[in-house]
Amino acid sequence: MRALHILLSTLTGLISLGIVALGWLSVRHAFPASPILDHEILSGVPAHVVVSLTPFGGLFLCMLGIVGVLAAVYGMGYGLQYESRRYGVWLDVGLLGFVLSMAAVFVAANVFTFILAWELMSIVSYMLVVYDYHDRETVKSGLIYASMTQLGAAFLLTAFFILHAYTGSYEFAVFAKSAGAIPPVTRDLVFLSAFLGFAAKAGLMPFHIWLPRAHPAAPSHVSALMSGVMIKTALYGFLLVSVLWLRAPALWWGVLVAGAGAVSAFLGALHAGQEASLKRILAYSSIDNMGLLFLGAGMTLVELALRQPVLAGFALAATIYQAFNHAFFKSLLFQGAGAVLYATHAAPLNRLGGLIKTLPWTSIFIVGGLLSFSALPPGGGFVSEWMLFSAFARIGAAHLHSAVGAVTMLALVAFFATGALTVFSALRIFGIGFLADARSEEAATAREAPITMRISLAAGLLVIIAAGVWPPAAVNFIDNGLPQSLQFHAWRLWYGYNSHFSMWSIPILYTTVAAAAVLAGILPRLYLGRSRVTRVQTWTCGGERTPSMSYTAPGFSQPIRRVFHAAAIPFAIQYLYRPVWQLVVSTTTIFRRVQNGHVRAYLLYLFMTVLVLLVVAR
Amino acid sequence: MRGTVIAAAQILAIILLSPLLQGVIRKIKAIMQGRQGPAIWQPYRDLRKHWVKSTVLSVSSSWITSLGPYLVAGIMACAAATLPVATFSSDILIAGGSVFVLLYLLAGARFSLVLIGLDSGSAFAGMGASRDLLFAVMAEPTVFLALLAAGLTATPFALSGIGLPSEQHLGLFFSPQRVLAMVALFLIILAETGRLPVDNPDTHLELTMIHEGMTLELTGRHLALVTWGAYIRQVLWFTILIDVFFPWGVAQGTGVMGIALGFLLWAVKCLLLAFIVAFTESVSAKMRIFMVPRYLGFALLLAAAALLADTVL
Repeated sequence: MRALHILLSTLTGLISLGIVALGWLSVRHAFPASPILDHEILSGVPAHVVVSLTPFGGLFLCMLGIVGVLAAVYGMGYGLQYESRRYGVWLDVGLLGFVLSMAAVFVAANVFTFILAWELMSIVSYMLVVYDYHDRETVKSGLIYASMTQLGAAFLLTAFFILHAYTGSYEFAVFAKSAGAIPPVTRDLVFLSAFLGFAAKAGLMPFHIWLPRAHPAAPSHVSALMSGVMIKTALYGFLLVSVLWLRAPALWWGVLVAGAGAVSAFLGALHAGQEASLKRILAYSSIDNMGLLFLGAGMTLVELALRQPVLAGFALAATIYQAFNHAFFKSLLFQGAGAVLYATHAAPLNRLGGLIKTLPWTSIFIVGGLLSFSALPPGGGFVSEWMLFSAFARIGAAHLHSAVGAVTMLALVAFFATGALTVFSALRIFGIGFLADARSEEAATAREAPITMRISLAAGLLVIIAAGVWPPAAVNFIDNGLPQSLQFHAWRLWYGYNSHFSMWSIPILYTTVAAAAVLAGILPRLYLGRSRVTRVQTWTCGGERTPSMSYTAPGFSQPIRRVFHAAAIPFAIQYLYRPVWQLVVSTTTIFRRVQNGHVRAYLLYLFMTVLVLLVVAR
Repeated sequence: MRGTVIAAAQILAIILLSPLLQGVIRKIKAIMQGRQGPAIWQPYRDLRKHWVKSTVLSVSSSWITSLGPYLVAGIMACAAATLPVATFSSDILIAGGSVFVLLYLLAGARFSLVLIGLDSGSAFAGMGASRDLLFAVMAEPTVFLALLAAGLTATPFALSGIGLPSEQHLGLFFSPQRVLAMVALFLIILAETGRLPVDNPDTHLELTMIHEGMTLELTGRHLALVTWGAYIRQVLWFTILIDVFFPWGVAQGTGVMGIALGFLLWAVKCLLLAFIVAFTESVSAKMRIFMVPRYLGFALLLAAAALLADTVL
């Protein structure tokens, strides 16, 4: 069984590598634009499977493949926990199916294929979420996830149906060509239903309620894939519909999307800073990051509406770059959280502490991931947030004297407040969870996770750094994958276009920081020699020190909670889900009177049915 | 070659003169309080004292405390290399003097500092860190809005481009939005440099510490580096304000005379600003911690008003 587990994980890893290669080639325009597969399943109904490799989909394939490889390697070690359940062989099968179905979403070229892949992805991920089905909470989380994802799919079908009604086709290629000619109000309908459908999958507020439940419940490498890639399928689909097909959007589309994104970003980050357990913090931060991505997408739409293709392309490239970086660091952090869970079996931050001494390797990987998470050098997150900021600021500068300038201003406020809140949650995770002394027996006796899990974490850290240390490569690559009309010719960014985005800025910046830090260490040592080190207890005003004297996670977030308490009211639950649920319950109580359990009543129903039939079918 | 020399001179000026600025501020405050106060060289003496002392580490601390202070110093030196001091020529600046890079480097220094603080497990550090981060949430958007309102829009978001309006008529230069933005930025600078009414730099009273709380467990060289970093941060913020709102005298090219004048005027302007800061500190009392968000919110509002003033007027 163990051999099978290793074999399946290896297979998933190899397939993911293949997906990376396919994505790379399609971004490089190695494939013809026509579908590479067109297979009719049933004649007479529109059940064709049509697959084509587009440059735009290729970008996302690359993202999926890289995270998939990491998840597969990680899964090898993670499966050891499930020794009693055949080393999690079914988990491996699910992982493989999950990767394949997501790949299918990115290559689908007609409605049937897309919806098929989309639903497969949802079903497989639902099964993976409830893999630990002995826990009642997990089952409940899975149920909420499944219902939200179906709600989203309903909106998507509406959007596709309207598109079909106006173009007379189910092919994406036809949508791309003629969806631009759909009359105004109908376009808005298509846009709105697509936005609602994809927002539910992306976990934008107020459709986020499934995300903080489902992501922590799943096994860690599945959470990594879900948070890293699956919710990006929503971004992919949304960009496909709004930017590639509908083109020439209305201004309010962009403002709506940017507004929803900004709200999600800020509130997601705020909640992430208040949660007690590691994986829930990461799940809320996924909401915050999806908010940022939709903020970027919204600004792209605004620029498209104002017919500024270069600015729009720049904003779009920045958004996709940020999506890549989020995929990488979120995958690393979820896997790291899994390694911590493996080692301590304790999720709340308050029961951890001191892990930097018991789990030295995991701590290094996590601190690297957290740097990119908080958009600080040297992770890729720093560069992509820099680009996003530049995109917003350029848009603001170009429209300072109109209402668009005010929208940009609000976007920037949300952007920076979110950034600072993210730094806060990162420091809370590491400062409370990993530094100082162990707060519990589990944390004190923690031992490192299996080697394959650590290899995956190390590789994840390398990917994060590689994505940020040489941005020209990444940005040129993304620029290649954009639709022709939006390519902003990234090379102009690196050569002379302006001085602050020169090709070498980032490497020079990192080298300077490193060199200055080394100098600050070496110079005093040369002149004054090594300093004598004594070790004593941390000062506690004279008392005996215990680990519980360190600041706690709730204490650390108390000032922010107190200042922003008005924003933390559960609006979604209170004003959206509960009223709807109560409506459902009250209508069903009315209909329940029909089912009263009396035999006589049922006989009466039968008699009346027969009477009606006799009258009607006479 | 000349560019490299000027860049090095700018960095060294910021790094080497930063303790002096702190000494001057303390001296002015002392005089205003009717004390004689220590000499303006006292910060240098303090730093030397820290340098030669041995290091006392907490048993709870890890490599974060051993490496962190050097990283803080490195980040601060690099941040000093992104700011125009004597000349607005942006070729000699790292990342072309991008404001985003500068402020995220400062955020990186804060990140390291908070980790160093929490590493010892001291409760004072946790308290200081969580308050500092709360203020950051409100301060960061304000800084960017204020800079955007002040005219950063015309150029690729580098302070080096902002000097150009100095040719304008004074009334045009100090338009309503610029004045609003300046006040907003000044309020933020008081908060970011840990001054009254937000933080009290002179106290080690447990419950009021913010920055001092995080450095409480540091000793010897680590303390010297982190303290020096705080002095540098103060000069950096002063220089931002000077570059944006008082750019007169900063050279446009790299001519020797212009650079010399630029350095001289920069020093004078820093001293003037030091006087203003010392004055405001002497006449204001420390706020309760949960009043500070209102103060920062006011600054944010001013910055937003500055941006809107452009549309309305």
